Amino acid sequence: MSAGWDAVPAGLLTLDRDGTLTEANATFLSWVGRPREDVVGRVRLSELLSVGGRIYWETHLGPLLLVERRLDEVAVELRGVDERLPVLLTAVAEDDGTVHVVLSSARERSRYERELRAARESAERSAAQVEALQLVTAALSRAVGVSAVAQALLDAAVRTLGASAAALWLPDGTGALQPHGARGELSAELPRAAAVLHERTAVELDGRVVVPLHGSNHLRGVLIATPRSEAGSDPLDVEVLTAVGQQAGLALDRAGLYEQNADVARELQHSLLAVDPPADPRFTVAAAYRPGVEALEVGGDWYDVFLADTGLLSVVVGDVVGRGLGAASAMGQLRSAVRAVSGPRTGPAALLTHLDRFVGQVEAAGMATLAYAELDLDSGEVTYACAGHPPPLLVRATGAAALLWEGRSTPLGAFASPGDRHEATLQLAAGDRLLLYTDGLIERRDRSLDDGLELLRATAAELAGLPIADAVRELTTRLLQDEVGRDDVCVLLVGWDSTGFERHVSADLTGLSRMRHDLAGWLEDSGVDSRTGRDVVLATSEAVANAAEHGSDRSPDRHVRVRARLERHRGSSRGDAGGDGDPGSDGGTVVVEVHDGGRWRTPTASPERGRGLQIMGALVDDVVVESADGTTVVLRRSLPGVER
Amino acid sequence: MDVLSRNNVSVSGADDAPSMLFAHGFGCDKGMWRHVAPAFEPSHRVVLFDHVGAGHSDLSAYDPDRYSSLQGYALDAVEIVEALDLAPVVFVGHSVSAMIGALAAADRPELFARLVLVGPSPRYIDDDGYRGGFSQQEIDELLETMDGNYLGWSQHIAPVIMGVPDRPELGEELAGSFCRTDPAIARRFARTTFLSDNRSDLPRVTTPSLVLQCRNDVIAPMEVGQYVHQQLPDSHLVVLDATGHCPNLSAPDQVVEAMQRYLAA
Repeated sequence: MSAGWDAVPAGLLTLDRDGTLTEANATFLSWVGRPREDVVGRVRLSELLSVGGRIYWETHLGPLLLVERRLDEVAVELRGVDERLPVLLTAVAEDDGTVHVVLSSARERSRYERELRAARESAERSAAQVEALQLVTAALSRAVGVSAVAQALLDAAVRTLGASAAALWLPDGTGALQPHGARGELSAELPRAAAVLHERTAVELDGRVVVPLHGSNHLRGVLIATPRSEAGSDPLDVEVLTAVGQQAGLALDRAGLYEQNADVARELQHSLLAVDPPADPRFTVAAAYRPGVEALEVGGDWYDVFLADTGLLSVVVGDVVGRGLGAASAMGQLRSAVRAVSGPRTGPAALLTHLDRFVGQVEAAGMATLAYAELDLDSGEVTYACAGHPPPLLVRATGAAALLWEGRSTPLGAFASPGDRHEATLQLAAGDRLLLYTDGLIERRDRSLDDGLELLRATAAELAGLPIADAVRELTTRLLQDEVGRDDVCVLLVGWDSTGFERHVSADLTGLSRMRHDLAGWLEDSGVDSRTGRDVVLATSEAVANAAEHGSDRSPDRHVRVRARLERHRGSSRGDAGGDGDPGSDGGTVVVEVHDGGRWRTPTASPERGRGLQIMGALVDDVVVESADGTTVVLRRSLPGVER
Repeated sequence: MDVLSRNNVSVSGADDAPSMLFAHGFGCDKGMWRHVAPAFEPSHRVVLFDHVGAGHSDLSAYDPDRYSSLQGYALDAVEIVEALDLAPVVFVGHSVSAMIGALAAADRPELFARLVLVGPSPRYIDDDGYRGGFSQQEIDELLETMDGNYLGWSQHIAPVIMGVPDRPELGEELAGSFCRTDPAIARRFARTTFLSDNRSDLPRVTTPSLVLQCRNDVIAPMEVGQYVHQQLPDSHLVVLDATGHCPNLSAPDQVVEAMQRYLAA
């Protein structure tokens, strides 16, 4: 080789097909610090590279050179005398496999590239961290309530942050951490070193990452994330986990406060909806409230049933704008206002005018809607008014049903001036019913309001024959079956029964089972529980059989009359007389009178009849046989506290 | 997901003949088999493919979770065998693909007739009583070098394209794109390859296997080839008189001959 070959300020090599050096110039030999006879004909170029470079050569560059016969400016490192020497390698292969290599020192370029690379990696890492953090933050902020935040955090740890498993501990009532949930396979144990939990940052411990979740004042929980174990997996990013831990701590703070609020609101709403309807045999009422399932917050739907005056029943269903504590408290105020303003001479239109003034002072109740009706229990006359609320529905005992579109005006307080409020009247017949409800029952995104109202009307008409409580249950079930549960729903159905129960059974007892059936239905409609009802029906049919046997000689021409009524203990109802001694059990008493024209022989005269009276005595609380104008057996059975 | 386009699968050779599936190793693509595969076309249906992330595979199909262990790649091989109804197939795997084939055969032995393992290593890192050829530190250094050639992986492609001399034998579509890959995927593949430990899988492989070991291979040294041979229940070891880790390129004649002799036996 010429002197120039050695003097060139670049490493020059020739290799054979295997990559073994066949020539090397002085510059190259000085870089690797080895004498010519040590390397030429003895070592392969890849052996003079750093280990990384060697693998790179064997797996990538070597094959590339064999196929493409050329490499350009590849960055590798030579194992130099004291340090690794970054070089750029360019090579061409000849047909016979001989390879010519030029190596130029790349110290400067390599340093520059390293800096560039570090900057780029840092930027990429930041971008990835920010993206992960944004995803997690969004998920946490969407979560409502502690459980939802916990789920979001665990999901994020596994899906977004690359953990193979994650477990969450949350403090119980005493502040002790308890396992709350986990994702993936995990032997869930809290680290023994409690000090770790008081760090402000995530800490790597025993191959896992412990992330304390600090709220503004308290430790809100601890997340433990396990990295994936596959060879190609990325390690967990402790910085991101620290940031996520801070977000999650605050999210748990918010969720905790929110749940406290929601608890108070629920409690308040519960107490507001726990209506204790007045008792009177002339009407039956049933109501249903279905809370919206999507949010924890209580909605603004409410209802009430009370006596505005003796013999004047008020029913109301309303909807307050908004949700949560504010809505619950507005609902409570409005409900009290309705009770306070109603009275013997007020009437629905005037009541709404009063309420307009009231909501002028209670901002949260503004734009509330309600449907209000007063039922005269003696005459069956109804006066009603609707303030921006869906129309009440009249369901006739005959099965006909009609929406009541009269007596309408705007929502409460909405620019209403005195005189804007209207009311309408209608006449109920015995067995007719009036349905009040909130919009959640009929409104759906995928159908018009008219279609919803028509569906309600048709369904209610079909259910006219069911006992009131069953009708409400069935109506709610049918109308809400296609609904996703977003909104809360309130339904109230009141029926007018002009009298109590009365039937005549011929003494040959052909009508006995019909009477039993009707009595059972009446008892159920009257809110008597099924067990008591069954006892009363049994005792009554025993009394009817006795009367037919002993008073009327089973003659088909003679009749046994059955009358039944409820006597309520009205000590807790407003302005009503009553309360016969025991205000604590205000369930009332069922009274059944079984009358026949004949005269009984004395009770003990016949063992058979005596057994009949024993049976009755076992089924009801009190059996009295009155002998005046024929014989009347009076059965009394007191009721447990009524829940409606 | 179309498996065949995902893995850039190509089929050539005899139609009604036994099938042979070639899998390339780390750092390369299916062009690696250019001097070996054609020799089997008269006698076999020859199937080549790129691992996802290499060659002309569908990069959008790269799933970091699936491909964080060799099992993900083994599953790909099984899916290709099933998609083309190749079973029972002769699987020819180079370098890390030797282990990928071993895993696939261990899990689905009914799909594989024979394995040909070129330069296999079940673990590259030395361990107590085991010599894999590298220390953990050296593998970390490889990852560093990979990072250092972050620019290199993609950059050296361009000059090659420009600098291609008149060499038609390379074929149009391969010119300038041989061993091309996405740098981020290459780095991850390096970790999956060099940090995996599949020693305990070898005894599970009941498929008859041929181990081709180069006399002088710094990536998979002789001891490793012998270890693989010992651990495989039914294997045959042939030492090639070749240097380097890629006898399929540097000594294709020896590779072809050893395979033909083994398959004929």
